[in-house]
Amino acid sequence: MEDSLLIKQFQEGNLKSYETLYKKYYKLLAVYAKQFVKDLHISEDITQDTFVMIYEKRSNIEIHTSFKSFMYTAVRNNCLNYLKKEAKMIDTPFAQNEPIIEEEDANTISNIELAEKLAKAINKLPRQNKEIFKLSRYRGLTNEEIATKLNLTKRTVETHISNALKKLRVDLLPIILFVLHFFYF
Amino acid sequence: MNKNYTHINDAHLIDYLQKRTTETENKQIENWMQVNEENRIQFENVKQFWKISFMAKDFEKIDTDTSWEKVAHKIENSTVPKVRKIDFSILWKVAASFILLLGLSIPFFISNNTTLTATTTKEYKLPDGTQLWLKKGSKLTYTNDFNAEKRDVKLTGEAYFKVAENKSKPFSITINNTTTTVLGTEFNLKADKTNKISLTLIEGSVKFSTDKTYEIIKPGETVSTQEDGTLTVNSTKNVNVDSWKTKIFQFNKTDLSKVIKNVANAYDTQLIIENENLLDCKLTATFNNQSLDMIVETLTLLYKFSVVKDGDMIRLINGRCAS
Repeated sequence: MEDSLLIKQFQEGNLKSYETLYKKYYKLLAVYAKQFVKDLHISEDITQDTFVMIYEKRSNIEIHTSFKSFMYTAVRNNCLNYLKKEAKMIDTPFAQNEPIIEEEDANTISNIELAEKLAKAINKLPRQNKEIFKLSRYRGLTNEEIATKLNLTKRTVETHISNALKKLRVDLLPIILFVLHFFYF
Repeated sequence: MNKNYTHINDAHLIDYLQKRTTETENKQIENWMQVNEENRIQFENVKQFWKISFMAKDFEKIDTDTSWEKVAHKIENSTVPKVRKIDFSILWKVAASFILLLGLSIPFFISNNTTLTATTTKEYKLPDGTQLWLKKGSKLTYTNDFNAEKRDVKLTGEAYFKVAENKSKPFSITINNTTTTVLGTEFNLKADKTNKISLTLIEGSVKFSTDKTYEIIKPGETVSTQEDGTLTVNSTKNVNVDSWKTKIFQFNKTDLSKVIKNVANAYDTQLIIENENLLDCKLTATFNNQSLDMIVETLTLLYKFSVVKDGDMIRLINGRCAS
């Protein structure tokens, strides 16, 4: 369903429509919040509170951009508020003199959206490929550790990881190339 | 890890990025990167991947469904006092049995009908949301089951309807032997003193039927009953058909005889021009929600009338056509 319709419905108090929007964007927003607060638990809490707050204010808000952009801004503001409060509590000056550069922020967002696609692509890998890749990338195990754990040779592990990376790169290549152009040309 | 790379693959590049490579390996990889553009792009690709794969890990960790339950719980707790859901279906049953009970025990106490009688031209709202301007002296009757399955009303006199749209419950108006069935629309319906019925459609579509025949008319058209029982459809010439409701008049080279007829009709008074030579004078003017006195004053200024008020009747004497 179109976001615009869902927005209209949730602003009229339809919680079901709000749930659809939530489930569509929650992960993206929580990972985005983590770029500010560095801790996934805190960033999830901030994101959830932002969703509660927006719902309560639903009749007084006007969404001129997409719902996603609107929420990115709302979550970002709440993260910055959180960091300010935290800085006060532990009595260290909040580094406000590092303003958010819109261009950098746009890069962060495009990386997060790419990461979401990558996460989906990883789950589509063949079983052993996926397992080895996750141990390597998510758990931070060295190829030797994985080899011992799975009773494989180190070379097999390397081949698996290499194949997985290659496949993922091919799957996501058009997007990656775009990002590279953005950075280097 | 002290071996020579004969072939650099993605996994090696990842090791390099994670700083798990030796000095020698670093050198080899750095040299490999400089061999050609292709290698450099491959490295940048892997680097990009390496970066975003950390974020991808977070996507795996997050449980959206569980987190939504928390959010929904918070929302419901904070909004409960404001709106309480009412089960209308139960309410209906309760109300229905109550009415039934009343109906059985004291049948003479409540009437089955509601009648709106307009002693002055007034706006009403019907239970289905339909807006209605009932002209002075007109009556509208509807039964208490109005809007249950159908929306039937009975009219005497003249009314302007703005029917609330509801395709599953047709709205029908009986006036004398005619029935007008509509879905959601705006129109003016009247029975004049000779019992000629006419309906002018402003918006939407309407089926106008007698017991013998019917017409479906379009906006801007007027359908009227004839003495022989047939129906005629004209495109609406009189733009001021609903002026009695709106008190807005637009005259464009209109005969003065017509002007005073319109004004008199709207203010429910009698206006008489005694000088017959003036009846064909043309007036171009707009009156926007002005009082009757103001309109008469304007006409007097234009046509140099003498005004005589005689009870409900206003007589305009002498005068001449405006140049």
